[in-house]
Amino acid sequence: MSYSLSILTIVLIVYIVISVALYYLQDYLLFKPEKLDEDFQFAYENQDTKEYYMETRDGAKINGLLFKSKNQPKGVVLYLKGNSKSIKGWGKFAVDFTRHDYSVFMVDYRGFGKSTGRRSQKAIKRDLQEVYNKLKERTPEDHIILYGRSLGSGFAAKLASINNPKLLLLDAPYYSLTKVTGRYMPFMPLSLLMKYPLPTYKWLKYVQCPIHIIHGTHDKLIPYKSSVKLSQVNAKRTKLHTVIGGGHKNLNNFESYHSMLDDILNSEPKLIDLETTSINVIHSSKKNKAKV
Amino acid sequence: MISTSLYFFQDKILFRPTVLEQDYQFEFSHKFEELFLKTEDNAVINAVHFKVENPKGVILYFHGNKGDLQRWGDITEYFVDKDYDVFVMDYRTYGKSIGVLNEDALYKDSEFIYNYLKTQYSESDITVYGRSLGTTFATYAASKHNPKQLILETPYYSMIDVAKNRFPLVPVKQLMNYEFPTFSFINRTNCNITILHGTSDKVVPFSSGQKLFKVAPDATTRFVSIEGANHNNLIDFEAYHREIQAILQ
Repeated sequence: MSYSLSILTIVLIVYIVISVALYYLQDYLLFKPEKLDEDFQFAYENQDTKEYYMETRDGAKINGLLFKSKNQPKGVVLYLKGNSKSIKGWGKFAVDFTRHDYSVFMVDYRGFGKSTGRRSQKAIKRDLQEVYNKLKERTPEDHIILYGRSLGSGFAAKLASINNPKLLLLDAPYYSLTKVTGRYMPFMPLSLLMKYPLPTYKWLKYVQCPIHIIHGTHDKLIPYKSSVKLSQVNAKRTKLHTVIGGGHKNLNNFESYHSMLDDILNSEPKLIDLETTSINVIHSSKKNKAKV
Repeated sequence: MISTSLYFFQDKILFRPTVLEQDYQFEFSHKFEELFLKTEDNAVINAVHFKVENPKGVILYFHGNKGDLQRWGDITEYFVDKDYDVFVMDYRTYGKSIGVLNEDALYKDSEFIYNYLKTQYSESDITVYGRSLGTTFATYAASKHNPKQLILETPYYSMIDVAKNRFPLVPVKQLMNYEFPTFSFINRTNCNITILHGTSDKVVPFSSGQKLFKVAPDATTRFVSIEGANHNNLIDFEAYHREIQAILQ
């Protein structure tokens, strides 16, 4: 009796210790930032860039880089990157939008690259809204595209839920970050522990612009099915694009991915004349039987 | 049991319309025009349009959840006295307005009415005013256009937020057919916003108004607490008059 009781106590203590450790270590587990010196010079081949700093109310510094399109820009893409490194490396993806004559604004979250400040979900949300406001001063809102990749997809969805951008583009998004984490730590009380729950599914509901979701079928980190689920939240406005065979980090190596971007950025939504379709035709054998 | 009855009676709790005969004659102390506007889905929106000589602007007023235009016309004549034209409508199923009630339709109606007003005034003359239930429609309409300003009297963060407060142990989120997420509209506005809220409000808690203020655009929004006021008596407080006088000068 006392033996099993002490085992139970030990298990409980271990569980609590792990929970506490998770609570304090989650920043290290979730974010893999690369710090950059303040005098680091961004340089990209064939890209014309301009660096920006923004000071926040709480004294943090947010660093961002504008990639200018060669021709007159059709708009600007606010690019919210994944959880690793800094915009130094992520900059190579800007070309996927500048080639369509969209300029790209990439920001480093607090603690990434040259950005400083104490990180929290709330603080990042606030920073990004301020960045968005700055973009809005220069570009009409209906020419701003919100792009979020992996970790960034939650923040992009949040911004889209309280603003009126042209469209929201989510690349390998999650249903909620709590859910992703839950796959790796199935028995932990994550809803209590997570400082970054990032409930994308909740935010998508309030989005009023077109939503495009791109996901690879072979994504091992965030399963494809989370995008299927996400696409049902605001189905009327959502289009789900499937990169067959695509993983979590290699979508840009698929031709289909770039043709999706082409479609999303360059085609106008087409209205379907439902009158000329079969939409209200009832096709049921049961009904006929009932008549007889 | 409580949950089930709440589910079935939520419309009755949320919307408290009184219905008027179609030939009912409104009586107000100012000159007005009565309108019947037909929407895309064939609902009919009945509205009263007060018109003064040399108006300082127009107030598009979205009323609370109780009563009909006779009551709300009386209430809004307060602004007519301040030399403003006032446009106030009855929501679907209220007064003489007819139509199927649902959340989406109510937003569409608010935009429809705004667009109607836009044909008669320049936007820089339009003040959108919402009271209680109506604050969500006022904010929605303002988020879709560029009015001069938005005034919110006793607003809420979302209807779910209000219901949670009223029925703390009930899973309101799962039960409610209406969400009215004003928080998701308010950051989409570009105009100046004034929020007025009584500190002793028992219907829409003061905290819900403050929560809304926190997600509103910093640069354009002001929060005015009316010390001691409850949900329906802001008009009895000097602070309210002073504030309205200042923003509608």
